[in-house]
Amino acid sequence: MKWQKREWLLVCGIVVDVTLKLFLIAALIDNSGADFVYRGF
Amino acid sequence: MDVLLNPTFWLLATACIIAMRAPMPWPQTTRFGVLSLVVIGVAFDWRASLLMLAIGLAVWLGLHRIGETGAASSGGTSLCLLAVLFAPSGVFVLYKLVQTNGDASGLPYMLLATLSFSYVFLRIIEVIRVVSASRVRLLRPLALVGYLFPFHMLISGPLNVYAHHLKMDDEEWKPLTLVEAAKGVWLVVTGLFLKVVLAEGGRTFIWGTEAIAVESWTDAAMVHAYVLFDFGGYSVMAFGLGRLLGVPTPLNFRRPFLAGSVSEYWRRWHISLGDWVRRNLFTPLQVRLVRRLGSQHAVTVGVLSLVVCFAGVGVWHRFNSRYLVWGIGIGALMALEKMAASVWMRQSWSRQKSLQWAVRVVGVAYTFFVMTAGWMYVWEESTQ
Repeated sequence: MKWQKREWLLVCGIVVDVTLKLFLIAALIDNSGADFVYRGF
Repeated sequence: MDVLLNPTFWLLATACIIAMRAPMPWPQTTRFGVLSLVVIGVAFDWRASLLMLAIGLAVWLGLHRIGETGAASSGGTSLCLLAVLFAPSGVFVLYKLVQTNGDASGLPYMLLATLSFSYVFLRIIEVIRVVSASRVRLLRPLALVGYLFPFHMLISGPLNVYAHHLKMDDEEWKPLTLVEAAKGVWLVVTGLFLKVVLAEGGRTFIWGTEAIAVESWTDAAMVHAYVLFDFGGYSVMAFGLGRLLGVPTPLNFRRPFLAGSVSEYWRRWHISLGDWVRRNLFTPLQVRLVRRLGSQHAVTVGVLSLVVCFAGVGVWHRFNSRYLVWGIGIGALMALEKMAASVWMRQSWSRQKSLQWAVRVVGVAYTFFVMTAGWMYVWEESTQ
């Protein structure tokens, strides 16, 4: 299947967004005292 | 350690996506049931897997018996229906009583909590209603386990629809494309971001590592936002995993703070619970009451059904008087809004654009205030 410009842009955008979010998540896990326990129902 | 920081869970989830997307002769529903048993057994507790299997088999046997005896004996069917309905209800009541008042460290409670039995109970009710009343096909035992205990929806829902789960077997096999996979991964990571960075990061920033305390109106508004990111984060992750797995998983949140009324709030916040209530409680109850009392009492029936349903939603959260009062209050407010809306719609000046815009702005502020006050009332006790 030949990819269109729109599909390339979408996947590249997702890769950048996911990388940034994972970077922030890792930074927060390393530096905070949050216990990440769900207090749901 | 919480599931989100458990690498075994993520490795297993990835293996499940590959297994669900591979062309295999097994039906999708059965495959998903077996995979859910394995994930819960390996990542959490093998005894929880055994309990899943036992509950799934018990529900299946009861419903299968109803299907077999349905035509021959209505007495036998009623008895089976009562047994299959009362046994999970009894377990649910005991589970909630222990959660509210008792010793929450016992093994049965721990296993039921691992499986989030509050959600499982609602799925059991749905499958009983749909299979016994609408005569919809009953899934095979292992497939039913997959519907009742979907591993990616176990922590905090959402509540999947039985009819949608059934359709998995009818759909033609399609490989996962790179664009679909990228969208699914984006949803999972976004959910993780909402939970870890916005919810937990925000919580640590505001309250430090201390427990959350709801002492003022500002606290309550911040907790309201925290719960949105926390619960919403889990829901987005489940939604993304569902797309990757090819398992129907409903969306649970849609910008709830933009709701212009309490009724709209419940169509944007915990959407799958609102839909469950509509399918399994509100509509059947309203139809029965209208048939019994007549259509001239439609307004009374509407009010009564809303109050009863939301009282149920209240005690489903916790078995205490605060949640009961909260539920009755929400139901009554929604009934009032419905009546006010019907009066408003009859006025000719209500069609003015500027007025509609003003009502919308006031409605958003009113909804946020009312819902925050409501949550504050019930959270005040649990955070003390």
